[in-house]
Amino acid sequence: MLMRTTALLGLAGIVLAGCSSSGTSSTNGMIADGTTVDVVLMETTDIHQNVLSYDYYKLADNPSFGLERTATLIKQARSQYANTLLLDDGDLIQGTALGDYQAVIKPVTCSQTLAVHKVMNYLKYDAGTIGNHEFNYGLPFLSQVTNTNFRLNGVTAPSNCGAPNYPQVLANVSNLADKQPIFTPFSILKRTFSGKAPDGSTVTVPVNVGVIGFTPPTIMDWDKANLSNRVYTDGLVETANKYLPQMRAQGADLVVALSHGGLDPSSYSPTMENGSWHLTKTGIDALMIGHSHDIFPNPGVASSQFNNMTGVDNTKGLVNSIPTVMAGNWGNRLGLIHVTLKFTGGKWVVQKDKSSVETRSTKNADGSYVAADPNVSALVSAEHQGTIDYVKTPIGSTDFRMNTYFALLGDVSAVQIVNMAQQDYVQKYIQTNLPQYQSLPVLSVSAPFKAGRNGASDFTDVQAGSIAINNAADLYLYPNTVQAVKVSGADILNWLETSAKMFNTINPASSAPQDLINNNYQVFNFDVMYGVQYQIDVTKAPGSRIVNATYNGAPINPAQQFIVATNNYRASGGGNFPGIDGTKTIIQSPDANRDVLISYIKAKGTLNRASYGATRSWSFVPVSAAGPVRFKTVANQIAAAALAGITVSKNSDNNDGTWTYLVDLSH
Amino acid sequence: MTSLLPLFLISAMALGLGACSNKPSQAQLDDTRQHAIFARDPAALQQLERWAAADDADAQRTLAETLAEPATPEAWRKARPWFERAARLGDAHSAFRLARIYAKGLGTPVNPALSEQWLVIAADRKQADARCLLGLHAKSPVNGKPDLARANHWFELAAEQGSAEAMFQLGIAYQDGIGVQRDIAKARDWYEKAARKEMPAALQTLAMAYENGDLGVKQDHIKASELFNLAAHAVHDFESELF
Repeated sequence: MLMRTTALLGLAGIVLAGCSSSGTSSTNGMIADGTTVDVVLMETTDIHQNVLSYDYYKLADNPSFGLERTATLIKQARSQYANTLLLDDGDLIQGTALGDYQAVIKPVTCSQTLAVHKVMNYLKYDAGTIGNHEFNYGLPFLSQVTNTNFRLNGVTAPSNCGAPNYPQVLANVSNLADKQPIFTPFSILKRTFSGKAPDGSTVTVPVNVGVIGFTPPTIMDWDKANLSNRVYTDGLVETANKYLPQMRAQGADLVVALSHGGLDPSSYSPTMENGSWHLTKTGIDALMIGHSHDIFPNPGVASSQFNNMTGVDNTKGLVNSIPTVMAGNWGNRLGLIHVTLKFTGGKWVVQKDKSSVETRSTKNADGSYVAADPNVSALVSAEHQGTIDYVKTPIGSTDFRMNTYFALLGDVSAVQIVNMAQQDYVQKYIQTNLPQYQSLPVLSVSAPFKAGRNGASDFTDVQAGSIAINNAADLYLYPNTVQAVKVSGADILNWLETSAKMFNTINPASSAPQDLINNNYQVFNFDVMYGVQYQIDVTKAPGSRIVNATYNGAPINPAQQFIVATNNYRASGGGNFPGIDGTKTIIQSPDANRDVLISYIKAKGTLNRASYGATRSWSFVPVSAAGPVRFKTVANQIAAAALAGITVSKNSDNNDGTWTYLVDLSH
Repeated sequence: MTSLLPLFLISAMALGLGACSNKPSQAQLDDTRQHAIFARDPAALQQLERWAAADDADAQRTLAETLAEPATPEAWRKARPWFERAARLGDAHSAFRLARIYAKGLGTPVNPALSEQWLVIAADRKQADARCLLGLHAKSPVNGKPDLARANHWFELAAEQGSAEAMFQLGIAYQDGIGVQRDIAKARDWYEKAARKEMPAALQTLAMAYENGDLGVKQDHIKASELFNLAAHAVHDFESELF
């Protein structure tokens, strides 16, 4: 009885629609079979607190990323298409100094909203999920800034805290005590869209879009300290199988998975890091992915990892026939999944052959970037300035100029502090965690990462005076983490010999000019070792240059064991130092070398040259060269060399900001 | 005198018979292990123990990994017999685990000879890290001369099984001409393969190449900063098992 009545009402609805004078009419919930609606699902992912196009470590604009530019793409897409949804795939609140500023330095209060969330609210996001990095600042912070009650002891239930205005969904992280998800697992977004009736007229139609969120189960390892004993994760497929039927039962016409994870077609495991590929087989209609900071689909790009992946169409953006998108990272792209639904037999059915997927870059074809939306920077100007002030806040001071102009001649003013910080860190680590090595000497290596390879501005130069975080970034350029290796004295000598390839072999008898530096050797592999003393004889062939290598005044015993503090690149084989190939690592720390340096400077406060910049680990074996020995570095820095005990004179001005100097190797 | 079979053995045998038809999938094992460790579910641990008792090598390895998770000497001591049982049943990863246990003395005295034995067995069973390690041993032997051809051969076999460190070593080999002809294009190709596995050193190598215009690429500061950003991201997730 009920069904017939409904059908009659439906007919009435259509007749009424046909009679309406305007082109558009509301169907009052009765939709004619054959009505279609085009929906565009937009994705951002892995924004990582890059709200503005600004690099806080360099204190300079960088247009190649930033949500303020993605905002322009979002606006453009919304003007192009009638029916859009804007979704974020996670890894939003952590990743730059702005994130640290708002989480640690000047923590946002309950009555405030995170700068990035302010922008998300301005952009009217429809939903978002939680990425693994959302957990980095701990559960109490995450609870507050998302205004979500996790029902955990020790995590105060938030009360009207500033947060996103849109649902944040996450289905596979559950409270250990009550076994329920700590976030809303899914949400049904009830939308009114503009569709096309069978007669071609425009009709307004209701569409329920279900969104469900997933994060990598591996957060239990990555954030063990924050999560252990409080929450646990379930596998993506198991979770989807549990909630998708509920979503359909609650009226979801379209099910979109927001999966913060990449594509891995290997056998499914509930603990696999990138389970998104397997989600496509659970009955979802569209898939948003992220985490691997990649682009999908990525047609025409030979190096794309998706080119020959099982079940994946890297041109059409299909994974096991499900339209899927991954929009880069840091806001450099906007993902768009175009879906067409056709009302068939009383429900919306996805027209699979009409789906298409694309990503749009903030970078134009001519290399320029789309304009930023000025409203974004206006919204976050206080937080932005606060972060700049934080990065410029002195963490200590130095009474000497720390530069790498003459690092290749023995000046350690910019390298010694890094080595001391690393050595101190590793010594403490061993005392606490590896007491069996307490009796071994701890040395350290670091290289002058910037030493002129790319011209006169490619040097480290921290003036005497205050040291701030951006100066620390100048002193330690690369995103490395601290590692330490256990090696023999023989390994040490090989290490030093390898570094010594930095120099050409100098023929003392030649009266022709000779360049000291071997430009084929990478300066980032010129490890300067701290804690030993050694000399380099550049008249010898590479491999036979290290002489007078001593530890504590005595020749280095090839059999003696040492610990050397370094970084993950070097310890895992970078630079091909003999035997330093990953097998000698005894410490794999999560702490960045740069952060260790910052902590050390903060602890020491004032750095003076005598204690922190004058311990020259190495010098050249004196050579009386018959001809000029040349060395190129920044112009007009003879005084800086002298301060480091190095004597040079000017040979010529290269008219590019550099001089060629003459090095006197005889002293 | 007849000795009654201890009750637990009877039930074990019964379970053994029963388990033939109920062999858990790897997914089930992983999920149970996850619950045993992170959900602190004692029933999950018991389930793993039941499956392991049924002479299922995958279950035994999973139980061993679960017991080893605290990474204390006591944990390794409890885990080792299960790694051994799984290894004797042919499990490659367990063989590698044993090689590492005896190399580093985890819950048992250091035993280089036993470590080497298990390493060879694991490599024979195509275990990627074991193969990579044999390559590194050949490249930088503690005693004797390096055998670079052998090293590269092992690296290639390990790379086939997905060892990112082996791919990285092949990148080095072709970049520096170690046991092979210098070939910058091949070097870059191997670094890119390792980078696709999110090995931070490989990502950093490529980043620095774009920074400086090395390895045959054009200098591109934007691409360099993208790769540095990927390296920074990867460094938190990538943990080498070679040491």
